[in-house]
Amino acid sequence: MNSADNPISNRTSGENAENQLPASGSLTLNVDDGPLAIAEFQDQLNDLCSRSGYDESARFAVRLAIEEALVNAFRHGNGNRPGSHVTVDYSVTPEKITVRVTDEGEGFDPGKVPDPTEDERLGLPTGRGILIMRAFMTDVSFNKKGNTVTLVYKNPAE
Amino acid sequence: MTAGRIKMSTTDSHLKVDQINDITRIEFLDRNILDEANIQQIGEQVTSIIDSSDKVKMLIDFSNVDHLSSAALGALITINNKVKEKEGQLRLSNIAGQIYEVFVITRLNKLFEIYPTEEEALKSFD
Repeated sequence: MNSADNPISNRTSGENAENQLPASGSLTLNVDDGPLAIAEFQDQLNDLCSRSGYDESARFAVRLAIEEALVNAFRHGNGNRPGSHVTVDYSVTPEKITVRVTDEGEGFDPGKVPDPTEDERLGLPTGRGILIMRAFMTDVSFNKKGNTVTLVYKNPAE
Repeated sequence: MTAGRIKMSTTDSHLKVDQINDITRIEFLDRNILDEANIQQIGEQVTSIIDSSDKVKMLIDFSNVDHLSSAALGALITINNKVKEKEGQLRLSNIAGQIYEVFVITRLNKLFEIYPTEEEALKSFD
């Protein structure tokens, strides 16, 4: 698959010929590319994490947190605006996985997101993304503006 | 009551739907319920089943599910709300390990009636 056809444009060095992700890199996801682009990145990252010594439980957690971060970036950050982009910077070492997701929006205050576990909110269909990220990741932090989230997962086996 | 278990199967793109006597059993065909378009289709398929029944008894089985996202949880909540509106009953079964953890973390294990096995879930219907 050459990079012209590939909706994931890799700006990385030392790209593996077998279409495997290198240990760190940066890529851009376009909202118009749809779910396949996200799924492909997730599968490739999952493969990289597996090769780096992360077990199924770790990879489940990372896939879930990234999914939540990407959906938030596209839906809330970019308002699902056609042609909008989300940038993903990632790094996988045997000690930790770091994924930073940046949207093109104006940002928000994560401190103002209501707690979705409260009784009166359980029946609401949305609002759980950040809760889930925080529960499964070692650390979740936002930049001051609120349009970048950094997810860190430390390998418990290390 | 359990003699003559009648199973009628239909397979739609993302779901397998069986009828076990008066209980509608739904199983996911996608191992990863992550993609929003699929989730929306699943929601629509299940909603039309609920709409076409009176006081539906529905069992959703998670045996095949490896991954789900909060969007999928949202669809389940909407389904649960609709079932309740129509005075029906909903049970979830076979939710494994880390998927169950997601229900616990979000406290949705308190909202839904979840059973470890299909058998236990089937017995729990009124």
